[in-house]
Amino acid sequence: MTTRRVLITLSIVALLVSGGIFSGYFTRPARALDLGDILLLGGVVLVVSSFGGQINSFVNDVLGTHQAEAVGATRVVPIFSIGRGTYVGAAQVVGVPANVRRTQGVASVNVTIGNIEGSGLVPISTQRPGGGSSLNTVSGVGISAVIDFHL
Amino acid sequence: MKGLRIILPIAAVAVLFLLTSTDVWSQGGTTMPQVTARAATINNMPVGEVLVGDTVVLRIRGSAGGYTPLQRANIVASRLTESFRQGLTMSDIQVGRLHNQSVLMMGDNLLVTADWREARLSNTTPTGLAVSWQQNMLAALNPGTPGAVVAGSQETWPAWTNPTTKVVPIVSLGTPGVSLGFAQVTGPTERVTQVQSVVQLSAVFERAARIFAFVPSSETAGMNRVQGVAVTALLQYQLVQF
Repeated sequence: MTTRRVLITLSIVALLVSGGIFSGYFTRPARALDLGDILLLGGVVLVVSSFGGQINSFVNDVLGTHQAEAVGATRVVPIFSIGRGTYVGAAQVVGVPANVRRTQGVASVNVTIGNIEGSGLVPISTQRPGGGSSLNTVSGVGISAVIDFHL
Repeated sequence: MKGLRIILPIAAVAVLFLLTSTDVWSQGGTTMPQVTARAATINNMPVGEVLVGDTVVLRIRGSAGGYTPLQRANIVASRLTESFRQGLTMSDIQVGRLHNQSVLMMGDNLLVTADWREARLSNTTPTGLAVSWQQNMLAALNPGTPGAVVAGSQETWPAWTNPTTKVVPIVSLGTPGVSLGFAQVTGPTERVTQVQSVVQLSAVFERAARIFAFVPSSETAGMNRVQGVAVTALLQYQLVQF
């Protein structure tokens, strides 16, 4: 009787497993990590280092369709909020090629008054501002676009 | 008199032949520009060059649509020649937009598309590339005078040696007249004074990021980019959460 119960149980398990295999439950196709996955895993800096070039081209294409692309060099870098002490997004910076190459990040200084939020955006030569009073600002470079990852 | 009767028809035929031949441009009897294409090598890369007379007016560095740079240059040269045959002149050479791409047109004829790949290979933007091609053609067709001055043509980003700032309203292209906030723009003084607004364009990238592009504009209701100026601060109604 016991042997019979064991056999029945094993048969049911085998049926379930084989059914699962045939239905693809255990063999879901692998998929590449997308921007959302990398954002969750590595944050803004990893997204910018992985997708910065693509985002930069995308922004230039958007501007190009409106005949509004900048003649300067462009690059996408992370935005570091000084008030929050964390990365809050990314920015496309524009300027002369040498200065754009030096730009590694944008420091954001925020002021909120009611529903109005102000952000001073300062291109800097490091990914995050140093501990001292100096921001390592890069002159001759401005902001062409900001990228918000809060979708 | 009899000799004149014979000579006149022959002369008429000769004149007709001259007018329809390729050596005479229909515009005012001016000689039609000679347009050719040739292969060249720059930095060990094969390129196709289009020449008006002896002047290189356009250089194609990349293959596209299964055509090599030289084949593409030949196509452009034949389009340019055909446009001249149709009686179009240098004033008909214009930079425009076709299928969301910057193009060089002659009248209604497409001459060449300035795509992003070609522009990057030339270290410029598609519109900048199309404008530089236009300028080269105008200069080659009318060597005595410089080409027409076009805003932004062959322009490079100016160094901010004596920068100034200005605060202007941020407007959306879709809803003119509605201010989304204010932006501080920075750049050379003579450029910053031209800026009347910052136009905001938005787009979604890969369903995971929203892009807000800011274009300093010399108009309050439209978009006419002032080059060399960029945004340095934003004051918005909680649109971007920093």
